Formats: sequence, C-alpha cells, structure tokens
Amino acid sequence: MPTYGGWTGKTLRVNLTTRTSSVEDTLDKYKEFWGGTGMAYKVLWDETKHVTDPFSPDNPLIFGWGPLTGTGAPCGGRTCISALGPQHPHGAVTTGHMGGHFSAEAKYAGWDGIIVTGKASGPVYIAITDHQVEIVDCPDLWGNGIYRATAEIVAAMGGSCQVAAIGQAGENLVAQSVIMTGYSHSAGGQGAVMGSKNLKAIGVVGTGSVKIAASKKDWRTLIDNAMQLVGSNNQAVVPNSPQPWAEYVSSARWYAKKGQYWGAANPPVETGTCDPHDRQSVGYRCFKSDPGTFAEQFTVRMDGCHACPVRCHQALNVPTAAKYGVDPTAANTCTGWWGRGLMDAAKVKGTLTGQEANLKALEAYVVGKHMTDDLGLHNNYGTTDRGWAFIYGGANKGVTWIQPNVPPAEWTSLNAGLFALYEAGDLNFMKEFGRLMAYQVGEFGKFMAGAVEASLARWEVKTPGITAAYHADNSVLWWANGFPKHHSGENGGFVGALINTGYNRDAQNHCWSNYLSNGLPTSVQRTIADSEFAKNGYMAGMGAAIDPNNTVTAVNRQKAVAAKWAIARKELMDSTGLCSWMWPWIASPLKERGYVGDIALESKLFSLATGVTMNTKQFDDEGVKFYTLQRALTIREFGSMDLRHLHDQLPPWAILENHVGKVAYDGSNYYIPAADWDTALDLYYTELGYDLATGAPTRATLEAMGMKDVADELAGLHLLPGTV
Amino acid sequence: MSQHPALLLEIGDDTGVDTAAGRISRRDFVKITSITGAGMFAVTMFGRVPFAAALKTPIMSDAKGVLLHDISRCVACRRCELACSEFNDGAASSYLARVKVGRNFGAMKGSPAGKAEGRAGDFRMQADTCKQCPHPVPCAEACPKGAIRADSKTGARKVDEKLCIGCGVCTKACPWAVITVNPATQKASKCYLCDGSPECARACPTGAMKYIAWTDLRLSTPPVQPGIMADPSTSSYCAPCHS
Repeated sequence: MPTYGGWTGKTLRVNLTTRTSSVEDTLDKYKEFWGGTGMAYKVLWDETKHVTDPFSPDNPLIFGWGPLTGTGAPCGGRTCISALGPQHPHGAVTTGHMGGHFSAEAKYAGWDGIIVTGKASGPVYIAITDHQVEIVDCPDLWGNGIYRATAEIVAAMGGSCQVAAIGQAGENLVAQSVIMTGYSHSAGGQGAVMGSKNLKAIGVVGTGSVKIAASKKDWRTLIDNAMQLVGSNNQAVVPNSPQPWAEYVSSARWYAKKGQYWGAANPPVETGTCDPHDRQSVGYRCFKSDPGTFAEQFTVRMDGCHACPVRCHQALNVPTAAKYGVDPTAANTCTGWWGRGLMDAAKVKGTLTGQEANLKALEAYVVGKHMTDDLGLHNNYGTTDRGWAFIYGGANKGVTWIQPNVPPAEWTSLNAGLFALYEAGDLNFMKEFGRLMAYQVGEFGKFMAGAVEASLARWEVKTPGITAAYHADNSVLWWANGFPKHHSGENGGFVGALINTGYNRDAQNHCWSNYLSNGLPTSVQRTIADSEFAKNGYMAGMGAAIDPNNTVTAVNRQKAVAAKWAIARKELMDSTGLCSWMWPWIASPLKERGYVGDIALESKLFSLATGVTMNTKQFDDEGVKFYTLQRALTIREFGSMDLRHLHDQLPPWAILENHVGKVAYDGSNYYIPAADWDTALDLYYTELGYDLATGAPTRATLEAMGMKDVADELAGLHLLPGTV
Repeated sequence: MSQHPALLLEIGDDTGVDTAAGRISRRDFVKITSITGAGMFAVTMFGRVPFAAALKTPIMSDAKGVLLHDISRCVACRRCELACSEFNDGAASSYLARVKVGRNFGAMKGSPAGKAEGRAGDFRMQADTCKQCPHPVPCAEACPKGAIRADSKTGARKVDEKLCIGCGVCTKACPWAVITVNPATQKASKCYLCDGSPECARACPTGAMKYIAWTDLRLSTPPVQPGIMADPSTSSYCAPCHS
C-alpha cells in the first residue's frame, strides 16, 4: 500500500453502549470519501438504513475533519459534526461546523475522525490521549455548563487538551443546541444527539504529527504562495477605509487602519495599515468589532482557529459586565454573540445616553455570549432571536401566539418574570430566557427549544395559521426545512438561492457569497471569474454568473455551474478540514496580479499534503460526489426521490409574485419569478447529472461516481429515477 | 524491549559486550551486572564518573540572536508551531515544534488548576521559546553526550544529531520545557534559530514573534519546570531511563 501524507490512517470508533473502542483503517474504508462530511455521509449511508430517529442510539455521531487538518494549510481549523439531525423535519442528515483547535489536536492524537455510536448507561466523557482511549464516568459534570465541563476535563488531561462539550441544552435534548470547543466555537444542531448518548464531552491530547507527503521545500513554497493570496475575513481583499496601498475602498471585512487599536491589550496594539505584502500584519486585518467601534477599547486581541492567520473572533474584556454574574472576558464572532440579539436595542438603552448606553449595549454582548455558550444553545443563524421576536412581537407582547399556547399560570409567570425583565431592559432577561430554553421549561421553553417546524406544528393546534404566518414573515427570514436564510438569494440571486435550497440546513456555504462581498467592483469580479474558471477547466464567461449582492438577473447556465461549483467546494472544505468562511480564494488583495487569486490552491494543498495528485477539476468532481451521496441519503430519509418539489423550493417570501409592485430583475430586489426558478432547477440538475423531474441523481451519474452500490440500494427502494 | 544506549554503552564496552549496534538490551544489562558481580548502584557509580568528566561541556559564549515573543500581540493561531515543525521536520506537530503555544491556552480556568492567562483566561497568549541560555546552558550541561553545542554561525544552542542519543535528559533540564524528542528520529528537537532565519518569526501573522539580538530573557517568563537535571553527573545517571 502506498504511503500517504495528510491522513493518519486511523479512524476511532467508540461504542458507548458496550463501552468499547476500536480502530478502523481510514484508507481502507474511507479513502474515496477523504474525511469530514465525505466520510460522514459514507458512514451514515452504510449504517442508518433503518434509523429514522436522531435520538436513536444507532444514529452515529461523526466528528470529522480531513487530510489538511493539523497542517499549515491556512484556515484549517474546521471540525464537522454530522448525524441524522434533530433540527430537520425529516431527521435528515445535517452537519454542524465548529472552528477552534479540537480537530488539529485529534489529528495529532492520530485520528482521522471519531465515530460515536450507542448510548452510555450514564453520563460519560471520552478521554483520548494519542491512541489511549478511555470512557470516563462523569455524573458530577452532567448538569453543569460547557465551561465547567471544559475546565475540569482539561484539568484532568493536561493543558494542551482540547475539549468538545455540550451544555445543559444538549443534555436536555434541546434541538436548538450546540457542541462547543474552546469556549466559543460551536457546531450547531448536534448537541442534543450527543446528549441523547449521555456523552458530555470528548477531551483529546495529541503528541503525534501529520506527515506532509511533499518535500519540505515544495510545501513551504506553496504555503508562502497561499499566504500571499490570503485576504481578510471571508477573503475580503479590499479595505473598508482608504489605505495608502489600496486602489479601492469598500464595506468588506478588512478593518485595519492607522489609529485603530486593540485598546485593552496591555499596552494597546495598533492594527495599522496592513499592506497586503506584509505577512506580519495579516492577523490585524480583521478587526471585526461586531459591537461597533465603541468596543475597540475593550478588545484584548483578535482570536480564531488553528492555523488561520485571519482572526475573526473578538476577545473582549468588559469589567462592568461582571455585575451580571458573568466573566467579563468573552470572545466570539457574528451570530455567536446572538444572546444580545434577543433584546430590543432601544429597551437595552432605556434612558441611558452616550457612553453609558454604549457600555450597556456592550455588556449585553458579554452576558448573551456567556448565557448561550455555557448552556450550549444554538441560535440557528437568527432562528431563535427572530422566532422570539415573531411570537412576542413589539406591541403584541405575546398575546397572539404565546398566550393561547401556555397554561394561565405560565402566562402569569412569564409576564412577571421573563417579559418584565425584557420590558425593563434588564440584561438578566437573557439568562432567564436561556434557562427556560435549555431546560425546556413550560410550553414557552419547549417551543423555543424545539425544532422549528415541530414547534410550529404543536402550536398550530391552538393557534391555527401560525406556521403560514411564520413562513411568510419577511422579518423571520425562514428559508426551508426548518432553517433560516443564510447567504441565499441576497448573495448572488439564483446562485445563492440554489446553494441555500440544495442543502438540508442553512447552507453554511460561503464559497460564493465571500466572492461577492470581497470589496472589488463587480466589473473586476466578473473579469477575474472569466479568467480563473476558464483557466481551471470551466466554461467560458463565468463572470456572467455574478449578480451583485441584493440583486438578481435572469438565470443562465453559468449560474448553475457556479452553484454546482460552490456546493462542491463546500463539501470539499468540510472533507479536507478547511474553513468555508475563508476559502476558496478566487480573488487576492494583490493589485499587481489584477486581484486574481487561485481557485486551484486547495487542490494543490491536498495534492502536496497527501501525495494524491489532483487537478482542480478532479478535485471539484470529488466534491460533487460527496454532495451526491448526501443527496442520496436525503432521498432515503425523505422516502421520496422527488426532492425537486419536497426540498428544493423557495420560501414564499423569496418569490417575486408574492410581492405586489416589485419588478423582476430591476436591480431593486432579489425576488425570483416562480417560473424562472423552475428553469434554474432544470439547469442546475443538468449540470449535476440529476433527473429533471425529481432532482434525484440518476443511475448513470451515481455509477460514474463509483457509487453503484448506492444506485442499487435506491433502486431497490424504488427511489432511483426510472424505477417504480 | 526499550533500549538504553547512553551510559550502558560505556559499561558494555568495559565488559566486552558487543555494542556494534550501539544498543544493549535490558536482559544484557542484567547479565552484565551479574557478571561483574556488582549491584546496579555500583556499576552506575563506577561507570558515571569518568564518563561525565570526559564530556564536561565547554563554556559557551552568548548566542547572537534570540526569539522574543510578545504576549499582547499573539493571536494563538499556532502558525509558528506549524512553520517550525513542517519546514524543519516535514510533519505538522505541536509536540515537535520548538516553540510551544497550544499548551498555554489555559483552558483550566475556573478549575483548581486554573491559570490567569491564556485563551480561556485573560486572553493574553504566551508562547514558550528557547532563551538560548547563557553559560551554564542547562540543556547542554545536562546532555550526557555533549551533543548540544553553540552553532558556529548564530551561536544558537544546537543539537548535533550525530551525537544525540535521544535520551531526553535535555527535555527535563530545560526550565521552559521547549525541547522534545522526535519519536521518529529519536533525536532531540530543539530550537536552533533556523540558522539565523527563524521560520516561526517569518510565519507569525502579527509580528508577535521576533528575532532580535540576543538578550537574556530568562527572567521574562517564568519557568514551567524545575530543570533539575542540569548537573552532568545527575544527567548521566538519568539518561538510561529517559531514552
């Protein structure tokens, strides 16, 4: 057998029912699916034929990463956690993604992935030190939050230990729960699956290494090349303020500038001008201060994931937040700060003005972060806070949707407690909200904790119409399958919509949206797309796939090709261990290159790290294969091949005909005419080799991808196009 | 059976055991101690004294440069660890890296063993680096083979891999515990400043790691272990069990 780099060659399997662990040969069993989600889909395909309940002990929980994990490939800190998902209405396969350092440590411990099956008889955690695996009883940790669990496991296993844990939400089978590592990196949706197995955490310590197949010189040259092309957060390549080196200015996430400081560093550190040729300032580019510029003075530094030079997590120290009984230090990013989003900003501010109002708003970030991250709650990209706003409403105060669905005593209690705190702008509201949700207290707690569609269905009985109202409410921004919009039609029109519709949850896919938001003028983006894609074997004129954010133009073949490419890249990121929040790098910040990036970089990194040489097109084809297996899994879980009509449909608010007075393709909106969505699906399925009538992969497509066994099984279930 | 070449090699020579392979088994060791009719203590004592005296480490002049890590600029990405291990060893590894960050995340916050600093503490991240210590250099003094010497170009305290026997005594002698033994090569993995162009400093995305003219940084960061094996006589005694 040839010797590969990248992979350790071993996958760990832990059966919690029998309290045993075993070793699988990665290359023997999973080499065709690499790792991460690719490997997870293979495991799930083989092992969930008769499993429908995400909380069944037979639902495998797969912690996956890939051959680039643990290496110096930039932005490679991703861990993917896959299982049949409790948030999905059909319990279809979903994946939560977290950054941090967990996957790298696990790789150094010698593992290409960890597959957890069964259910422990009582609370346990898995302690992994290199090839030593122990299942440790931990009744004292059960009932505690993620912070306590992490601290005690690290204390037991040593300072270099990385922990992935659940909080009370996961323990209590809250569908909207996470698995978290490093106190701020969370994988949404699978916390309850972990809880259903009585698995509190996994701790891992690794003293091994990941071999690079290529020579040290070649690998160093490639890493240097990648570090020249890297941008800022989401691969922004244009600063958002004028810089001496910059041709353009935009609103992209490249924040560094002179006079801007990590103000709570001791002494303060200036982020500076960050010339793109200066490798020693890459880490300053992304001073992503989600709470606003006021928070800069409270910023100790920026933080992020393993091997990533672009730091998108903000590490704050807000001493006054301690009065709410939380740690004044807190780090997170984007919707990771979601707890504060539960509160109306005006109510938080109350009568306060100026700096006092700013400080209280910042305290809300810290309190909200600790509430959600310790309890292990999932925001589901806005679902929780938007859902709260929907059922409580501004002036409505819960009368329409909450009151009819909760017993009178609970209604009284909510008014005296939760609602009163909210109306008073008391930040303790967030802690109370978290308690009700994480412990599923009362009808209100159960509604917020549950999978969206299931919660709506339960309240539909007493409040008919709630589901339709929720789906149609633009402010909720529900998309489909129980998930919200997340880089959908607003980022690329048809391309974004196809990406967001084709996945079993919000797409977690930044491959296309990053490019559209990189700060370059649209004309430059189109020119680069024309050249980069053609250079790598794609059709000419790919610039025609680009619609600026918040607009849409008529569909064309290029848009279907772009959507297919992006969905493939998303699976490739998940299966190699790279971060979809950063990769791929179609553009670069280098003016002398015409801002051209290199979409072949990932295949080059994969080739040199593993020794399996692959060009860009071959690399991308593997991603399509992984996605197609996910599609087959979804068909089996739906019990229907007709995903075209059951799965791939736009939400009502995204359809043009539902907006009176809006004009198609006039540049003022991104609503899609219903008939044109059908055309888009035809084009997209054609590119993927799927059946036009159903959106299911055909036998020919599956067999061309080496998945005849999948085709045969689907045929036997009458779920393959052409079978009845 | 594990192999213990260092001190036993010398003893083996004295007792006529074939050491062509540079190794001796535990069974042979027991046999040797039996043959000589002496207990282990006596053998090691008699073997140790001339051995240590013969390898007494020369006084080293100061290195020309040293790595300076800035706790307030570090963003904990660990690209320094990766550059060190990948470009020197051809494999990515925190354990092999000659600069240590991952172990200082301080995730024990709130526990009895909690730390104030680190990723889970006040966010200030400390990388442990080699101080290129002035004479007496703990790791060099402790090395039973005299394998750690001043590099002729940089003055860095550098492992001569031809001499290193992988006993690991140096890993215990370093107060900052920044030396490890590579399990694949059985050679000590120690910072040698990459011959004057440190890869870690080059890879640092915030300039937190800098290569500066040598200055004594030993008091700038607290030691992480006692470094109790700096006495050559002690190290010679310890080497067999630490290989």
